[in-house]
Order: sequence, then C-alpha cells, then structure tokens
Amino acid sequence: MKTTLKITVVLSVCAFLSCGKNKCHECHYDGPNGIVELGEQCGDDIQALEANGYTDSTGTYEVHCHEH
Amino acid sequence: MFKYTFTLFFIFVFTIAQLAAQETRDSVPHLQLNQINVSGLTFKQQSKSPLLIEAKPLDDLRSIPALNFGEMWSKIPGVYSATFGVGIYKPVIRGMQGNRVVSVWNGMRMEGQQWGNDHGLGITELGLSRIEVIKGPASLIYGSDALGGVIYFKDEDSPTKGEYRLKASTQYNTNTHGLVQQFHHAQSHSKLRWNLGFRYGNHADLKLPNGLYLENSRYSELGFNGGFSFNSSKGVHHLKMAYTQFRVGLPGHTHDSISDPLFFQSTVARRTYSIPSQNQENKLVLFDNNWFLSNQNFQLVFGYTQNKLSEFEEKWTIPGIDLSLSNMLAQTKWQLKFRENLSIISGIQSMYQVNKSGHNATEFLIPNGNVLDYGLYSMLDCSIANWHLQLGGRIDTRQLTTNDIQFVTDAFKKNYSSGNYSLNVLYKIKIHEIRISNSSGYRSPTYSELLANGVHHGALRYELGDINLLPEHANQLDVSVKLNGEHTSLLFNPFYNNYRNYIVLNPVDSSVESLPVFQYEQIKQVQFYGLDFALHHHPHFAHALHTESNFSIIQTAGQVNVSLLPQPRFTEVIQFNFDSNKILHLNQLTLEAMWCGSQRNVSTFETVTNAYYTLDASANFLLGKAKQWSVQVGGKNLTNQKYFDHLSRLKNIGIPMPGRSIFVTIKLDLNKK
Repeated sequence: MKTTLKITVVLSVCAFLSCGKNKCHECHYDGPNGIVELGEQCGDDIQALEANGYTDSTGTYEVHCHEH
Repeated sequence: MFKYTFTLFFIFVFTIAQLAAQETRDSVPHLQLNQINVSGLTFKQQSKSPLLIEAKPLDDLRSIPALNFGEMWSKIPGVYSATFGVGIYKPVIRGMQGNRVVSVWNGMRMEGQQWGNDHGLGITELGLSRIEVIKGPASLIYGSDALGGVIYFKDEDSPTKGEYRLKASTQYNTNTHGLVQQFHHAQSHSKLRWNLGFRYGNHADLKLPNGLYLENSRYSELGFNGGFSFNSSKGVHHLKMAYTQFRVGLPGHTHDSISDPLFFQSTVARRTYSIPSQNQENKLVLFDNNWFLSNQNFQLVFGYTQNKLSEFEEKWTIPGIDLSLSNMLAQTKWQLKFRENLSIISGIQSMYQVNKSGHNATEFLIPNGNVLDYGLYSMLDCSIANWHLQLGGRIDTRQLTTNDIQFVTDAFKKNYSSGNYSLNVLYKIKIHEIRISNSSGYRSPTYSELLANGVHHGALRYELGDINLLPEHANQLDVSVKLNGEHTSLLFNPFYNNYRNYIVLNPVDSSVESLPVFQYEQIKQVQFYGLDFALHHHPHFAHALHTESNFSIIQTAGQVNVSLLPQPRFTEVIQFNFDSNKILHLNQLTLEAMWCGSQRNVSTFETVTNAYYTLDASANFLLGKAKQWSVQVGGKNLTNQKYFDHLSRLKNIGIPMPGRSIFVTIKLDLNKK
C-alpha cells in the first residue's frame, strides 16, 4: 500500500515538474521605420514592457512579445 | 428524415415481436438497473420515477477511453459536447447549450460564464461516479436557466463502515501525447467518512488526420477534491470541496477574415505554454445536510462556487478578459409523507452572484454586477396501483443590478419573474414503462445578452446586447415507452419542445476594430422536435455479449435562424465481458461505431456539415489474483477519418476533429474492509 502511494506521489510530482513554463520571449515593437527587435525579455521586464510600452526619442510604442 | 423513421420503425417492430415472444417473468431482468437517481426532487429508482432521467455510471462511459470528459458524456443519447479543440468542452442537451443548460455538481448548480461559446464547463471526472441527465425544461427543480436540460455530476458513494478504497490511474494517449494521472482515496469509520482526490493532465498539440498538429491546442488540467461525511442521530451531513484549474491554448487565432487551415498546423507537437490562452479556475464548496424523521425528510444545503476566467490574447502578462464570478447558494427541501405512496415536496432555492472584471483587463464584455434569485416550489408525488404521478408548480424571481459606468449611465436594475409547472406520469404494465411528461422552463436574459458592448476576442467578434430582451420560455411534451424483456430493453422517446422569445446572436452589417459586429436578438417562436431511441440486448445464450444501439435526432419546425443544431447520431456498441480466475485475463472487449448524419439545417452564417463515422475499440485486462490491477488498451477514430463535427468551433476555420489516438491506461483499484 505504502509503495503504491509513493509511486503515485512521485509520478505526480514528475508530471508537475516536467511542464515548467517558459517565461522568456522575443519582443518587438512597430517603430516609425518598421519592426524593431528588443531581443529576449523575461519575467518582470516583459510585464513592464507590455504594461508601459517601449519609449525612445521618437515616442512610446506598444510592445508585442509573441508571434502575430 | 424518412429513412431514419423507417429504420427505427423496423427496429421497433422487430424488438416488440422479440419481447412478445419472451416469457415475462416476475424476476428482475438482466438489464433492469434499479439504481436510485438523485437529480429529481425525490430519490427514486428509475423504474418507479415518473420523470425520465438518463443515468450512466462513469465506469460504463470509460469502456472506451476519451480525450476529454465531454467525449464521455456524449455517449448518452441526446447529449452532445460542444468543443473548441480538446481542452474546451461543454454539454449540449437536445440542441441546447450554454445558459440554457444547468450543470449540477452533487446537488449544487455550477456557474462559469456559460454565455461564451468558448468557455468550458470546468469539471473533470475526478471523484465522480455517475452522470444523470434530465432532457428538456426542468425549471420546477432547478429554477431559471434549466430550459434545455440538466446534467448532474454525482460523486462516488461513501465507503461503508470500516471500508478503505484507493483508486489510482495513469493514462497516455498518442494523439496529444497526453499523460493524465489520477488518485482517489476514500475511507470510513463508524460515523465519519472522508475522501481525497488529485488529478493532473498535460497534453501537447493534438494530431489531425493528415498527420500535422494543430498549433496551440495544448492544454493542462489540475484537480483536487475532498470531503467529509458524518452521521448525526437522525441525519447525514456532507461537506464537499473541489478545485479545478485549466490552462488551455486557443488554436486558430487569426486577424484575417479568410485564412488557410494549414496556417494553423505544424509538423511538430509542442507542449510549452503559449498565447492566446484561456485560464480557468473553479472552486466548489458544498455543505449538504439531511434529516430523516418518521414521516418527513428535511434538507438544508449551502454552497459556494467561484469561477475565474482569464484570456490572454495579445500579451503574456495582461489579460484581455479577466472575469471572476462568485456564487452563493442556499436551498431547503422538505418532504412530508402522508402515506408510503403519497407525499408533498416543497422547497426554497436562493442564489446570489457577484461578477467582477479584473482592473487590468483590456476587454470588458459584461459589467460588474450582481444577480439575486429566489424560487419557491411544491410538488405532489403519489402512486396508485400501476400509476405514478408527480405534479408541481414553482414561482421564481431574478434581479440583475449593476452600476458599472462602462456599460450604464445610471444604476441598472431589472426584475424578471416566472411561474413554471411540471406534470409527469408513469404507467407500468408489468415491467414495461410508459411515461408522459409536460414541463415548462424559463431563462432570464443574462448580462451579456442585455448589456454586452465590446470585443469578444475568443470569438473574434464585437458583441452588442439589447436591454429590452424578454425572458425565454419553453414547454416540452416528452413521451417515452420503455419495454423491458428478460434479455432486451427498448426505449422509444419522442419529444416536442416549444420555445418563446428565443435569444440568438446575429451578425449586423457593421464592424468595429475590423471585427464583425453581432447583436443579441429574439425569435418569437422556435419549435424543436426529435427522438431518442435505445436498444439494449444481452442474450441469455451468449452471456458474455452485450449490445447497445442508440439513435438521437433533433430538428426545428420550419426554417428558423437557429445555429449549432446537433447532427443525427447513431451509435452501436458491442461488448464482451469475460470472467476468469487467471492471473492475467481479458476482462472486457468493446467495439463502438458511431455514425453522424449530415446537418443541413443551418443558420445564416453557418455552413453545412457532412456525415461521418468513427470506429473505436478497447480491451481491458485484469492482473493479479485479487484483480486489483487493470490495463486498458484502446483506440479512438481507428480509421483516422477526417471529419468535421457541427458543434466544433474549429470547423469554421477548416480544422477537422482529432485523428487516430491510441490509449494505454493502467489502473489500481484497492478495496479493503
């Protein structure tokens, strides 16, 4: 009985761990002269870019971090 | 229609002749399952219930493995599953779905933004033992929204005193490379019983019949459930909890009005979380108290459900839609028995809903608001000789309030009320059953239908509500003839359902943000009619053999602009059950063939769906002396048919249903006293 329980728990934990989320993505924005790549962004950086956009000397642009 | 009627008439006549030839005995026939159904107002054996309730044990529905829970309940005649890939599924009963079907978990209704075609039901099979279905209006029992039917999910029965149960299973399928693990434990002591369950499933992109994978159709599911039951001197009390979480990819995402289906397909199956996606979380808590006195029973139920639904569309961290729906329920039921065969059941049901959108969501389809429901009912239940009768009435009120300034300029309050009735009669001729039911139902318009004003990204359209919509009403006449022979059982169940003020979502000649605008409108009258037919055969001369034929069809009277009408469906199941004391033996062999006719009764912007057939099979082996281990090997869509289901949302973008899938399931079923 205990063995069965242990096997079940181990299998379940393996299933959980094997499916980690990828939290880094390639980001870009549509600038006045076309698409500008921002490279791979991760975690809080993505959150800030998606919420506030990207600002350069020409203005603030909406950032996309997934293929469209 | 003629060919269906002719075929059924032939089978009907053949079976009656066969039944007539059999000597009717007083003993219980092989096929008559005297289970107690719990979805009606009285807990009755089906053979004594004036209301026809279709009940299926999950073990029967598992005889062929399924890619999702929806595929399991779709085996019940008249019940279908509306799908969006394999991760989103919701019940369809006699052509009705969404807000016209009430889903009930152990006596408590589940609420989860059913108005959205792409919003799944949010339940897994964890801890459940049976599904019961009431087809057609059932507002007498379940109040507003029980217009098209009720699907009732019942937990496994508690273990008997001193019993210990452990069920664990792991399942792999080749189509989604999905791995599903489930564990459920239940134990009982003298007055206290408890259970605990866990489930996790993870699926990659599904494989289509052409060998390519549907991009972003991947999904994962997580579920926990648990509960305590205890006995008091004159009562039984249950505290049940369940939690589910779904993370589902939304395939077929495009901003182009015309798209190539190959654009959504890939040569590689991926499992990594991507967007657009839908995340759904459900919490269910139920406290069910029952007291049994000499001539009366009393039930008091408190419930709480919470549904969180987020859709991430263009951004990873900022949801497009972010909805939270909390629902509090309280209901009482009192049964007063005057005699063994005469009782009155009365009750009060109330529900209070709070709907809120997350502050950082970018799309607001429905307002922050509240819904308050009250219902009062009473029903007479009596039996005289071979007649069994239930007659009842109910009054309901529903109040919707909001002051969400994005949708209304002044405080908004709408009250709807309705009276409903139900008359069910059962006449028994020896062991044969004839039922006639006439029942009504109603459904108040929802917030989305009254006040929607925004982009529904998941549906790729702009939706507009209409504040002047009236409640929908339905009346159904349902007749069933069930002939029970010693080895054969036949059910012939025609019905007619008349809807008034039927609400539909129709396109208007306009667009917003390059998306087509759809507006909620009402059709004054829509009439549905159809038939469910079932033939079970279990011949005495071949005890291992069991065959089951089911046929369901629903049609509208005249040409009306109603969408998503299910295809006619014929299912044939042939099952062999074997018994042996060998350490490894084949316990069950099942073959299932399904044929779905074409659907040409379509609404303005729907397309016709062609007929298709599928072939499934499975073999179940038992291992060990105590037969505690089992291995099931099976396949779905074995011929790898390319077919489209009329209720699949992916049909519109030219994506067929999943291709061939081979399953392997390993199960452990321990039961000790």
